[in-house]
Amino acid sequence: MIKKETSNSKKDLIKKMTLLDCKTGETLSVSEIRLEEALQYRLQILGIVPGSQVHVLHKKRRGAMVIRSRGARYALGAGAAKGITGVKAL
Amino acid sequence: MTIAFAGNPNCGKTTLFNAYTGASLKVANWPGVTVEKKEGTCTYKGERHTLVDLPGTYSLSSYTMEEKLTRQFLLSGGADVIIDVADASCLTRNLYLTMQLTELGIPVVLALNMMDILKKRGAKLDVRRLSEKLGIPVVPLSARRREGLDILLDTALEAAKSKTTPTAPQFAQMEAQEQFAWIEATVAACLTDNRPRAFTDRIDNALLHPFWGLLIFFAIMAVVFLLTFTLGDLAKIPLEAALDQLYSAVGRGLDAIHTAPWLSSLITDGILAGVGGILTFLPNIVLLFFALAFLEDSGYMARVAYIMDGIMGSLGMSGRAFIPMLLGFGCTVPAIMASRALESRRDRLRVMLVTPFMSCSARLPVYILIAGAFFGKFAPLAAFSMYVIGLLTAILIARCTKSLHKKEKQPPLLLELPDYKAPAMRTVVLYVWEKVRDYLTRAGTTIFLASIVLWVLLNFGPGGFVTSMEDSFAAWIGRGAAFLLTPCGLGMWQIAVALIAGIAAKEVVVSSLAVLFGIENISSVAGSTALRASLAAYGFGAANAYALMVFVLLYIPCAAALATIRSESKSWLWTAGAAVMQIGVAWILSAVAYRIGCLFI
Repeated sequence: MIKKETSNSKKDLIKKMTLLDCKTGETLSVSEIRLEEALQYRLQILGIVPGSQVHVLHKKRRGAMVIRSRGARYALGAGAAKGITGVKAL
Repeated sequence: MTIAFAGNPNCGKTTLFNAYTGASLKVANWPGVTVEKKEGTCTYKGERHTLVDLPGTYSLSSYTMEEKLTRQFLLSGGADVIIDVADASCLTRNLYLTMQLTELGIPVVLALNMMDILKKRGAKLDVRRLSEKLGIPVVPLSARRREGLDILLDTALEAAKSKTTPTAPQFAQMEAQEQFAWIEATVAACLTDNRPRAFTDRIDNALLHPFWGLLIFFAIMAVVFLLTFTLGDLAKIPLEAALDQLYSAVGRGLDAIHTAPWLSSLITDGILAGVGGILTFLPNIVLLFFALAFLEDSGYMARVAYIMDGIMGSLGMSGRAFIPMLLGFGCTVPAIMASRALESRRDRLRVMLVTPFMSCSARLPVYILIAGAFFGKFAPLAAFSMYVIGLLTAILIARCTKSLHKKEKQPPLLLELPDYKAPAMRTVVLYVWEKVRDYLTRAGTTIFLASIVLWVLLNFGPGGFVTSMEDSFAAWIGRGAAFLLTPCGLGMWQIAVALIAGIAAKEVVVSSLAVLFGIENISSVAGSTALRASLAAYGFGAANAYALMVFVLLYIPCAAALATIRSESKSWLWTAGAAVMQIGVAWILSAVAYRIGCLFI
């Protein structure tokens, strides 16, 4: 299914990326999470929601990563990182 | 009064609960240890109170089993007061549950655990201000150091008696984003200096390194098993000497009171040889579990899920599925139960299928005995190779079953990684003691009974009491099964009997061999020499010995493990299939090992 981008904000068009694209040491300002319902919910109760920031502490080649969110550390599989989009925070 | 303990996973709830009740529930430094609610009592200032330890949850919605259980219990009016245990070093996330708890209309007290860690980090928390903002009493404490426990109980009982329900903001009506914004603002107002945990980060840089991390993991496991063998063998010497004394003392005592020969044979050849043989492996078992407890409590075990995620991913499983497999090195039964924490049923079933191949501690005595008798100074290597073969077999089976249910996608990894900490001696000792108790209980019950049954089968035949074991029921059964084991180099009726008896528990293979060949103190040097000599008389050499170790590694772990597979999978068909597969794999691979062994030896 292809969803048409309705937003034409410049920032979105230029910098939008998924967490999977982030390198070690980078931080993502989350704008959207689109994952399977149960997983999305589990992220939500951990405070990983649109508007939050996720910092990549470690990353492996296949995309599995260790992230920091709200002071806690989580191991996150590539499949989950792919569904988290946002813009790179400076 | 009934006091319920709620809180996030891994926030120290169970440690706190144990501190009050004196219970010894298992505590681990990785999330998801408490899967059912546990009850205990404590008497405080002359009154008896019921304490309920609820499973760790991040919220009160009803997505997971733990959440449903917690929610139902609290809403049904089961508790007079809730003690919400929060990890003070990770306050923001913990407060989400706190806010949901405050909306149930039950008095809530917030217990801020791990304050010692916060202090060490140089952070300051304004407890009174936090209490005002949240509208509930807040008590700082350290469950590990047992600080602040009385104050917390006083506060909770006070709140329960006066029925002071929380006066928090209307949390449920906010959007998720708003809720977290509110919590973050609250924490920011009360907590000064939330420095990132540099210590844990620095260690993680090495331990979670894509290449070195994997290498370090395997090195750690190798060291653990090496220590288990070398130190364990040293500690075994005085234990064996003591048992030797006991054997001769019992023998003399039985002679002195003119015991009937058959009874004296039952006691010395049956019970003492069987149970005593098992007891000498206690040092090895203690060391293995001491190491595993150390790894768990330090916070390393949870990291293993991340380290192994790549390898597990290529097998079509989440890295999280590796934790049950790793626990399988300790004991298969809790390992299979730990598969409950996995989200998808497909993952759970496959973990149940492969976990029995991880070499559990009950198999260790068999390796030590057989390898010690046949491989001399290469014995530790031969025993270690069992762990590798078990792991490789598990991987192979996982690969073969990968294509089952191809369409269902594997859920990605999501697991909290706790801070590293120095393992608490209390927790480690408790963990080891629990396992040792299990081991001793098994020696006293299952193995005791198996030894007696075996003795009866060995000493009675169709014609009553037999003078030669060759005429016994056991020999008759064993000969029936032995021809099936001939391709594996195990075509001896004694071996067949030992293997069948070993389904009760793997240690029974050792005690059976002791009984079958009439060797007292089988784990001593003299005992293992005698065993080698007895077996050599049948043409049983090193290749046969290695095949025997492989067979013991891979066939049905024990009756209890099968029962656990049944209760976790809720399918007789699956359980039977697993058992057949285990025997099949054991038969094939031990035959292969025997053939290859014959080429070299």
